[in-house]
Amino acid sequence: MMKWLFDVKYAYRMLLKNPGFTSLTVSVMAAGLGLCVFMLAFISSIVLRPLPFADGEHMYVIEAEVDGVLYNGGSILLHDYLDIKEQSQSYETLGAYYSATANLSNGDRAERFSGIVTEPNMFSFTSTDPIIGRTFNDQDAIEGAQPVTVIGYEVWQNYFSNDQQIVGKSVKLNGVATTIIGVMPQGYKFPMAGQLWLPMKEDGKRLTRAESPNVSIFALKKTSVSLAQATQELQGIMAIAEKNFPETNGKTSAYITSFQKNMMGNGSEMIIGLMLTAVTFVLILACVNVGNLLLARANERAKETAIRVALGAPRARLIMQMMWESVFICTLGGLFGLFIAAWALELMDAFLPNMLPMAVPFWWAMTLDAKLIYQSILIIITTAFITGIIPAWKMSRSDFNAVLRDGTRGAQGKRAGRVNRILVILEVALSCILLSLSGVLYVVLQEVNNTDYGANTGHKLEARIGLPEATYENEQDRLQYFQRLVERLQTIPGVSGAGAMSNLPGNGTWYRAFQPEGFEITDKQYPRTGESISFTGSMQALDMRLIEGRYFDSRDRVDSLPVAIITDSMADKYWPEQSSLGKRFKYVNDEDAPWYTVVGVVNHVIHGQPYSMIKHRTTAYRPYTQANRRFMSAFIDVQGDPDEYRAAFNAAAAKIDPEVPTYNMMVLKEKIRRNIGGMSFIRDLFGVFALCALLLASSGIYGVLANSTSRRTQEIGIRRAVGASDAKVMSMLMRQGWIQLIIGLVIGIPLAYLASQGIVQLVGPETNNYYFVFAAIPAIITLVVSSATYFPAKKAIALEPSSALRYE
Amino acid sequence: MNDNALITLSNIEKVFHTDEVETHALADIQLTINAGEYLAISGPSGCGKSTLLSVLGLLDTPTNGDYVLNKQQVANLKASERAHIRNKEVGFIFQSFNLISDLTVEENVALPLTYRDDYSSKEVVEAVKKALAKVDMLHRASHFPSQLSGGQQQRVAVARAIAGNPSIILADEPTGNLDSKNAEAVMSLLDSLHSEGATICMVTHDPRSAQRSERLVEILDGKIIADNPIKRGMHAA
Repeated sequence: MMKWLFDVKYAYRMLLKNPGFTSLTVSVMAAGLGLCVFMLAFISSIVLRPLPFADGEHMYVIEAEVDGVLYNGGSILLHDYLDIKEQSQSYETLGAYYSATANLSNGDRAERFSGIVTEPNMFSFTSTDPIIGRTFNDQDAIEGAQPVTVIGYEVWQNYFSNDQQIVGKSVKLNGVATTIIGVMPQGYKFPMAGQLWLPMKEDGKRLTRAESPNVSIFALKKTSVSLAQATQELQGIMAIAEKNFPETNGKTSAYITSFQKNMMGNGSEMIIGLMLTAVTFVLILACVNVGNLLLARANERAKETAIRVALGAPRARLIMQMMWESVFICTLGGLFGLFIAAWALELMDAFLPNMLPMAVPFWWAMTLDAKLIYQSILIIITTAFITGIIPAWKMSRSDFNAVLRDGTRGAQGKRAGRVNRILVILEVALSCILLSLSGVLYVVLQEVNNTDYGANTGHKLEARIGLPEATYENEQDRLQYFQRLVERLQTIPGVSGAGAMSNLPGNGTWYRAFQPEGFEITDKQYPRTGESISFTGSMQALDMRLIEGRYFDSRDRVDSLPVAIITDSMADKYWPEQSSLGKRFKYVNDEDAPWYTVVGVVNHVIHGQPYSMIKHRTTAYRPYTQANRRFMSAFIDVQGDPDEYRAAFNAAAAKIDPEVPTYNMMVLKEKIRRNIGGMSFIRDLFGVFALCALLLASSGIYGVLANSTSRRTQEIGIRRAVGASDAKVMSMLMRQGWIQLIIGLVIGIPLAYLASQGIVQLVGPETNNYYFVFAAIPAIITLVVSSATYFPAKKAIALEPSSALRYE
Repeated sequence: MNDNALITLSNIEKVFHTDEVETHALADIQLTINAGEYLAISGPSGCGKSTLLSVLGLLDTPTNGDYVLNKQQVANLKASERAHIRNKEVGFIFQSFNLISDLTVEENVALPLTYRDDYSSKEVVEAVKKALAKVDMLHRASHFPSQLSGGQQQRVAVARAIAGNPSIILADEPTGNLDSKNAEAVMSLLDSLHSEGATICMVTHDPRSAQRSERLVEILDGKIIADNPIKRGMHAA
């Protein structure tokens, strides 16, 4: 007991004695460990942690994969779901759900909530009981049954003011008298951010595939079945459907994944992998730095070690004695790191709702749980071992006789110097990779930020409107509503234009299989195009440039020739080198679907995220008069700040029908900004990683080179004494740093290029501007390393040769 | 074999290889040190006396030859075994004191004992007190080396060397960094230890220090060229 306490006390004393060294190393470890813990907590929260239900680890969602793009949020045809349910052997439970707007009205006021239409078994799937009342039974899901709903805790608290008699009350839900039968517990928002639930009544057997709604499938996978086996089975079922129903299922398969990964979308695994790699690099850099500093200190204490060896210290004790310092440093750094991570997570929790284009999923709990703290402790122990073991091992194997004999602390110079050189090379390579990744992300996202969506998205305020089916059953009523709304919006003072579209530029569209007239289709492999419904005048209000033909106007009536306006990207793709006016196309999921005649061509418009997979997709627009919809996005074009028009927008909508609230009201620019919010957040994170990497690398390299130059002071004195000029000595010292720099860059640049390709492919920049990053970053690192070499060299030269010769 | 022999070196050779240069630091060393003997090793710089002391103290291994310490063959032991024997059997006194600056006087003296398994915490404390009392440094037990004079530091080093009751004390130029007054004090201390039965082997340049021992071994070019008892008359001079 006394023996290790003796060493612990000594290590503690040494750290107290050198507050500069201690605070530097503790800060470095706090930064490295803090970032690492933060990232682990973040990734764990959004992807890795099982859903907070009894079978959370085996809960999955099944969605469609169309033309290589993974869809989410309800993309499987109800018929496909029924096929999967009938044929699959991989699941304990399967159920379908889809999101729906829930306009709730208690007679006093209407409010829009996020509704989930689901099969009754969703609640048993999540093993959650209501706190009041009951959930759905099979009778509730029969067509014609009394409409019922289960509401969430927040709706109960906020909209119904904690009404204890809520169960059994009747409210108007989407215009239909609906009975509230239960209240779910606080925090229950399954499948993502649900606020109230409705029983699903669609009967797949009575609908055709063309009429089939899209659903998501919740699935409890059997523990005996692997995810790969389940995927294989799923793809087999979908392949048969694709073969049998190419009109609805062309290029369509399905995939199974966790709810967490599904929410993250395309490319998320690659991004998460990159983030974990980046943070691991930062942690390695921190360990290398602290290890380097400990090694330098161990070199300085070579004589002390030699004395201990002479007194008969066993090697294990020598190693442990030096390890204690790294244990102290890493433990202190780890504790600070944990605090930093907890604080950053709290900040993140507060800022996330403003950063995401959708509601924050219920499982995103940005906290450090017991498992994470346990993992953090393991990381701290590992880092303490990694940082301490190399210096301790090197020193325990030193030639202590030489140290005792000539008493110079530089006796370990050659061997320790080699380790130092390797560590510097490692630091250069790692920082090069991190800085380059950050730089590439910055450049490509800058390009994405400046993306031309093909419309004037500035000074627009948009809001979603969903007309209840019960009160707006008639197409004419819907048309009139939106006509009146657009007219009223245009009368708001300061508004220069208004319109409505099913999906505004920057917002995703449904991607439909279609047949262009005269375009050869082989094996029923139909192409797909996005479809958006536009209210008359809306394209002009959005400054969507007309290239050919005309915009929608009063000629486009419900009973007139079905028409469409297409983007020039669609025109060029299917009717190249000719005018596409008068050309026709039809959607193929319905045999009775009409042919649409192209009456206009507008410039290419991006609907959805401006990344490689989406941004080149073509779009066809159809007039609202011929493609009546209950859900539209209304917008106004204003002078000044669109945010100031929120109240006026809501008032205009309420004047037309107080039972129809607006929802998801947002400045269009902000919504588009949020489109790349996730990627921007990742860029910022990488920026922090890169900054840490640069600071760590520069301080580490400076420390190592300053130390090695200092140990060569006598040698420098001798060289100058025999006539070496200052310039010669300087170039000799600089060369030492540059050799390590070049080796580090030779390793780092190709790895950085390879690592960046995932991001480049995901974002799909139009230019190769990001190449310059691979020149700029090495230049920055060269500057840093040169400075880190120059200043210690200059200091060594400033010493008189006579003093240098006496230097110990 | 001499029954009283504490150390027996037979045909000891030590060769250093540096790049392509081979240096014979010790050659054909035959030396016996009896228990309770006070031996001085002398010779010019670079003659190999410090190397011999390193071999004697198990800090280094001979290239060839036999080394018997306390009736145990120790020439070819592993580093860990040598460390164990060194800790138990050998007490070192260095020219430059070699105290650890960040340990207090009592911690420095206790240090070798903390590497041993046969000392309890209480025994360590007692042994340290006893050793410090013997060198008259008990009153400075909680001081750090930097707070002591050179002579005092060397007395602490002596206390560290004797705290574990080693079989032999190896002193490498123990007065080399001291003024004459402190040198005399340290030499008196060694005399006193010897009179109490300690075996001492001292490397020294200083003829006056050498004359205080019982036996003088002279080395030149790595070989023992003389091994004679010290005459009383020379001691007085």
